[in-house]
Amino acid sequence: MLRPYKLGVFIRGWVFGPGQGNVKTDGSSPRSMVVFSKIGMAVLAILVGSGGVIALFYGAIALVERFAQGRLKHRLLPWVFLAPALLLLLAYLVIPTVLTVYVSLLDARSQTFVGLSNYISLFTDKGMGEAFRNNIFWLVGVTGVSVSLGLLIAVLADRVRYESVPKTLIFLPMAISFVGASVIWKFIYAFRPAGTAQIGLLNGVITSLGFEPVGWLVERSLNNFALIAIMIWLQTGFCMVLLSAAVKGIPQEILEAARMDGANEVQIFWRIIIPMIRSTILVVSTTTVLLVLKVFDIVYVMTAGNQGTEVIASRMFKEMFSFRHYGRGSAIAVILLLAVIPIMVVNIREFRNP
Amino acid sequence: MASVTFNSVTKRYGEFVALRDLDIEIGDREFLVFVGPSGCGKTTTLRLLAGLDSVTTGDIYIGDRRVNELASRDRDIAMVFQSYALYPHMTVYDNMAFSLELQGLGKGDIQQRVQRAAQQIGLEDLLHRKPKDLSGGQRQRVAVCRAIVRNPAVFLMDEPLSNLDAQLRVQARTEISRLHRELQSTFIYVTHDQVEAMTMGTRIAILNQGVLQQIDTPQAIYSTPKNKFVAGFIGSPAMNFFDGALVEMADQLWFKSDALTVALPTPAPAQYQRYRGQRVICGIRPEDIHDAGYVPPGIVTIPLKGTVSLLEPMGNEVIVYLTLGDGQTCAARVDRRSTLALGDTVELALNITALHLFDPHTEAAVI
Repeated sequence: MLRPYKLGVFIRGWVFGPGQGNVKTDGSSPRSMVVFSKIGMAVLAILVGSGGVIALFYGAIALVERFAQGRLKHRLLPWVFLAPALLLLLAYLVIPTVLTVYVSLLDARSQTFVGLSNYISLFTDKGMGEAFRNNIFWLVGVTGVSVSLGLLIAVLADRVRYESVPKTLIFLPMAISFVGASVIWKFIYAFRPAGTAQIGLLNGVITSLGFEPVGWLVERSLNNFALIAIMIWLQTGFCMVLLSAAVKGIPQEILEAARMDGANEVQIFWRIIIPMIRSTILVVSTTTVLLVLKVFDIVYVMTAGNQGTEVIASRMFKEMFSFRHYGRGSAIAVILLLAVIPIMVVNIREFRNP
Repeated sequence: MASVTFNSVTKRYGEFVALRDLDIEIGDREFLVFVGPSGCGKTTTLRLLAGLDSVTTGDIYIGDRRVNELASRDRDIAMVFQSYALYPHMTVYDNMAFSLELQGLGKGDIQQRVQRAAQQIGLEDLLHRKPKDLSGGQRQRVAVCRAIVRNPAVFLMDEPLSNLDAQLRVQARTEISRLHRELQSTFIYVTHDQVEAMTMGTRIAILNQGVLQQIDTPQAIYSTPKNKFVAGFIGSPAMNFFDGALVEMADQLWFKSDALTVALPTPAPAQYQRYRGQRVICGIRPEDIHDAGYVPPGIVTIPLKGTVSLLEPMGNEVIVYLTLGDGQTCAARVDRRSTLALGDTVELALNITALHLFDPHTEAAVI
C-alpha cells in the first residue's frame, strides 16, 4: 500500500521528473520516468494554463460584479474580456516592436544613439543589396509559381474522377516543417565530385544520363532557384487547397451558361473562373508574399546564406547573432516590418469585404 | 427558327433511367411545356437538348440537324436557368454582351443588339448594375434578356419563375408569353407548376418517372387525360378517384363502388362494354361536384352523400372536403354562396356526364 508521503513523492517525481525534489532514482526505469515526467509536465501545463485562464476570467467577472454597479459595470465588463488579449498583444507585439525601432537607432552594442546611420549603411551595403535582390526573386518566383500552379491543379483536378489522390500528394508537403523540408531537399541536391558515387537524387539522375554532376547549392546561377523550388514545393499545396475550394464554390449552372453562351474551356477559365475567384487569388497571393518575405529556415539550413543566397531574414540573423550588431539587425527587422504592412492591409481589407 | 425532334431518346445515369424512350416532335414556333413531379425527367430532357448532358441512346434533332455530338455553343439555343446563372462579376450589359463578344461581333453591333433586347424587356436603366444589386424579379428579366439577345432558334427555360414571389410570377408569365409571340421562335419550358403549364404552353408534355405520359394542348389534357397519372396531376384540387366496377342493370351500364353508384350516360361508348362486369377506376373532377342548391342549369346529377370534413373558402368558390360512407375523402368546388358547415352531413350533386374511367391495371383511360 502507498503511504501518503510516498504518494506525494511519486506525484512529484512524475510531474517534475527525477533529480528534482528528493526522489531517489533507483535506476530501474529512469527513461520511462523521464518520459512520464514530460507528459506530466505537459498535462500540468494544460491544466494550469487553461484552468488559470478560466479562473482569471471568472475572478475578474466576480470582482466587477461585486464592486461595480449599474452603468459602470456595463462599461467595465467588456474590458474584463478584452484586457488579457490586449495585455498579451502589448507584451509580445507592441513593446518589442517599439523596442526594436529604438534599438535600430542605436549602435552595435545599443549604447549610443546613431540616428539613421544603421539604415543608411544597410542600403549601401553589398551583402544587404544581395539579400534584397534575392528576396525579390523569392517573392516573384514562389508567389507566381505556387499560386499559378496551385490554380492549375485545382481547376484540372476538379475534372478528374480520382481528384483526391493528386490533391493529397500535392498537399502533403504542407505538413512538413521548413527545416524538415530542407533536410529532404539537401539529399535531393547533394553533390559529390565527378567520378564518385552521387548520393543526391538530382545528380544521380543527370550523371546516369551522362552529364557532369552539378553543385546545385554552390552554383551561383542556380542555387537561389534551387532554394525557391523548395518553398514552391511546400506552398503549392496551400494555394491549391484554398483555390480549389473557391473553384468548387462557383455554381455549376454559371459554367453551363457560359458554355451555352459559346465559351470554350479556356475562355471559361480566363473570363469566368478567374474573375469569380479573384478575391481568393488575392488572399492566397498576399499570404504567400508574407510567408516569403519572412523566409529564413530554408536558407539557413541549406546554405546559411552563403554563395549569394542571402535573404533579408537570414541577413538579419547574421547581423544579430554572428556580427552582434544589434543596431543593424533591428534596422533590418524594421525594414521587413515596413515591407509587410501594405500587404497586410490588402489582405485584411480583402478578408473584410470579399 | 427550328423544330426539335426527340427520336426514342433514353438517358441513363448508371442503373437509373432518367428518361425512357422519349419520342416528341416540337414544331417551329411552338411553346412546349414539360411538366411533371420532381425527378420525372423534365430537366434531364432540357439538358440533353441543351447539350449539357449526352444521350445514352436515341437521337435529337434541331431543325433537320442531328445534334447528339454537337457542343452546346453550336446548337443555336439559349437557356434560362432556374438560378438565372448570371455572371456575378459582370454588369448586366456585359452579361448580355458576353455571348455576342464570343461570336466575334463588333462593338457597335453588340451595343445595338444589347440595347434592343434591353428595351424589349424594359431593362435599359439597369444595364450598368451588377447582378448583386438587382432584385429577384430584375435578375430573372436579365436572365431572359441574356437569352433573347442571342436571337437563338430555340429557347430553353428551366423553371425560370420558381424563385419569384406569387405576384411577380403572374406578371413574368404574361411577359414570357408576350415574348414568345413577338420573337416567333420555339420555346421549350420546364416547370413543375401546372398553372404555368396550362397558361403558357401551346402544348404540354407530361412526364412521370422518365416516361412521357401525354402530349397535347392544355385543354385536351385537362378534358381527356390519357391515364390516371395525368388526370390526377393536372387540376387542383386533384381529380377524385373511386375504385369500383362496371355492372349492367336494366339495360344500363352502372359504375358501382362503396360510396358511389352512377348510371353511365346512354348510349355508353363501345369501349365501356369491354369492362362490363370488371373492375374500373372512376374519376371525377372537384368542379363537377356541386352544392345541391346551386347546380348549374342543364346538367344531370346524382346525389353524393357524405360529411363535410374540411372547408376552404377561396372567395370565388369554396372547396369542400367530404368524407364518404366508406371513409374515402372527396374534394368538391362549390358555389361561393354555399352555406355548408363543418360536420354537416350533406348531399352534393355529382355531374354524371363528366366521369372519367380508367383501367385499374394499366391506369389508361377508357375512352
